[in-house]
Amino acid sequence: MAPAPDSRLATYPFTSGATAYVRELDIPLPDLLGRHAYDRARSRGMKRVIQAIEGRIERDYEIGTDLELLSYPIARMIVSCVGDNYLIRRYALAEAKAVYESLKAEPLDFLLVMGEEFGMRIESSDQGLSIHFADYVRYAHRMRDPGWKLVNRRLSGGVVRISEREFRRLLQEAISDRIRGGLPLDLPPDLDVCDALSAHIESVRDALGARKTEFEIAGAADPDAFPPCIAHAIAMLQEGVNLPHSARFAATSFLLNIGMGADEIVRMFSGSPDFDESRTRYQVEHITGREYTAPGCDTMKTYGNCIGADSLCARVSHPLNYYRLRKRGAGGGGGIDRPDG
Amino acid sequence: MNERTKNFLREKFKEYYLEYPIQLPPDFEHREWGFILFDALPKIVMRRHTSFHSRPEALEYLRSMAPAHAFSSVAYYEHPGAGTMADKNWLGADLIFDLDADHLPDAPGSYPAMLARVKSETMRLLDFLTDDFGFSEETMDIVFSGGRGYHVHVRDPMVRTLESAERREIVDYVSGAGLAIKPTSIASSISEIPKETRHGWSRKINRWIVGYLQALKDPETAVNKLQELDGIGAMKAKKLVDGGLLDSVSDANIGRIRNGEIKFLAGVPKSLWNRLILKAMQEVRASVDEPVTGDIKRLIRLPTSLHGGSSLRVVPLTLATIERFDPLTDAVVFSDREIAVTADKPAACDLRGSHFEIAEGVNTVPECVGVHLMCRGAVEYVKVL
Ligand code: SF4
Repeated sequence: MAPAPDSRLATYPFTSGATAYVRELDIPLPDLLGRHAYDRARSRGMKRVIQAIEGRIERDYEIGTDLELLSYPIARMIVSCVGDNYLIRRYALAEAKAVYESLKAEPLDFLLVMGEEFGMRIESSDQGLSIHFADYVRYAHRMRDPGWKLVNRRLSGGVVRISEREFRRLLQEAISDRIRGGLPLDLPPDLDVCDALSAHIESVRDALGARKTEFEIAGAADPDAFPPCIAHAIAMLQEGVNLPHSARFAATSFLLNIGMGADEIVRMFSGSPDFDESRTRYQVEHITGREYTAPGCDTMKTYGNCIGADSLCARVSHPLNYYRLRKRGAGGGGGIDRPDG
Repeated sequence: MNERTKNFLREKFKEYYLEYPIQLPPDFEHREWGFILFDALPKIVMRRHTSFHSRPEALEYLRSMAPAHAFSSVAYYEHPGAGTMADKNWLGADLIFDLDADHLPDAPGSYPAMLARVKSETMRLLDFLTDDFGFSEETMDIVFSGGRGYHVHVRDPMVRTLESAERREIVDYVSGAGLAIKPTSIASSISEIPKETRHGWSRKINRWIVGYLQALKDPETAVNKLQELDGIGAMKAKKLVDGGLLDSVSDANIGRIRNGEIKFLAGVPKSLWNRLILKAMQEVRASVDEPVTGDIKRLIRLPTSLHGGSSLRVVPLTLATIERFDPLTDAVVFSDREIAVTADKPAACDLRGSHFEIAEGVNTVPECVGVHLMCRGAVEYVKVL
């Protein structure tokens, strides 16, 4: 008999404990995908994804720990079947946020166990918490506040002092990595998972489509419709010119907002002769991990990144609007003049 | 470099690889190897994607090919010999630091002075690595690079899987980049200085400042010493001393200064504290070549190999031996037996404690000097005498 389920497993379904528990339940995948008994796990999985699209995943303990827990792998399968980069990002982010909310209420002892889950070497003593610097920088290097920089920390004998609040932030990063990791999943080829979940996938697609129209970012990226500032930044990157951070950020967040994935973006930037893939990837992923909106024209102008403004620019206040207008114009038979030919 | 010279150098390097003990890096079977042979020089042709399965195999390669330059990857791979980086499958990498005269902001011109300067940077780095980062000596390999600097290989398993961006945080740490306690200007308001009790940079800065102040013992030398600080000339220095600076920083007050307190010393101008912090940062930081540490797939010179651009040995050192290590003597491996070389134009070098001047035309020099200058491309080989 399986051990009594702990509702924490459902709250933290990505932990090795939760995975082991699910394995012990020993439910064959075809059953999970098809049997009536798991209907609610499947629809809950779909709901997780739809809630993520809408912005916030709510816990549902009503359906019982087991089903809530099982809905997690199902949600991941659904996301993988849809295979949309924007969805993957948005979903992972929403899951991580939900976890962080729960984590806020947990006692230190539990946090320490969670730290162990991620292989963090962390110790608690009268003097507070100290963590091995390697575990620290792995997550802290992405934080934008200079207070997180290793150089500004008390580092001695290889350990960094951190507060409990900071520890929660580090855990949040580790958790979003874990959740994003492996997505999209390599689904077993012999079983048609996506077929079995097709109804749920359809609903997710609809929700995603609605969200995308709302933001008008549907369809494949169309470089011809890029505003001059972004086209310029990309061209410079491809030439290997060392662009200021604000310009790189603008280009990357713009491309993410129009639905490109991190891999595609890295590829797009990779034209340069001394292209440093790992560095670019880091920068792109750093931005991908969050929900940034590309800066508007005002900000672009402030940082000197509004370069090559054309007549269409006069009608927009945001590079994304430029893109939408031009894309629509192109689709609608070239209703918008193209001063640059 | 003509064919005759290349042949001679190849023979000399071969002798070296036969006679001297050669160390292979730990886990060498999982590293990629790369070599530059004398044949194509001065063109640099790197033969990479090589791997060795055993020590004899690696030694056999070095002895038969006698490469001008030998490298192995900082990275560990599942398939180090695979032809593309993707197929190799990266498993991890040592943490590497490269300290090179080329990257120092104000490196002196002469080779010996330059090497001395890089050595002091290396000592600072080692202080960070052992003290702040807590690496034990057994996990670090410190080597003279054979060229213009030093390499430190940290092989601690804890750091192996760190990615580039994370390694750059370590570089920023040792070089003090992004330090929040840096005053924005000399005139910045300041109510305390970094405390001795706070680990990390604070403590280092505090200790440097306290050490500096304690050295301001008598008024005569103090006036001179104060002028070491940027922006303080003879006039200002004298004014500070006359204004009672030495009393302010007397032993009785040092305890409170260690604690970061400076407000009680109303007579000491704020600008002096800001200048001291800035100077302390300069004196504590280690200038390392950032891209090297961030590159987790780089090839790095093999310790105990020979550097084909200098003929110097890439010498393994320890925390104890680096202090007294003199590359221009201790990294020289060739003999004093005389050989004849020819030069197109005058050249000079310092080796084994002597200065050598080469005139245009044929010169007789000790073999070690001849080989060194041949590697530098300054002379060609004529014959053994
Ligand atoms: S006006 Fe806006 S869209 Fe046009 S180039 Fe400037 S920043 Fe880009």
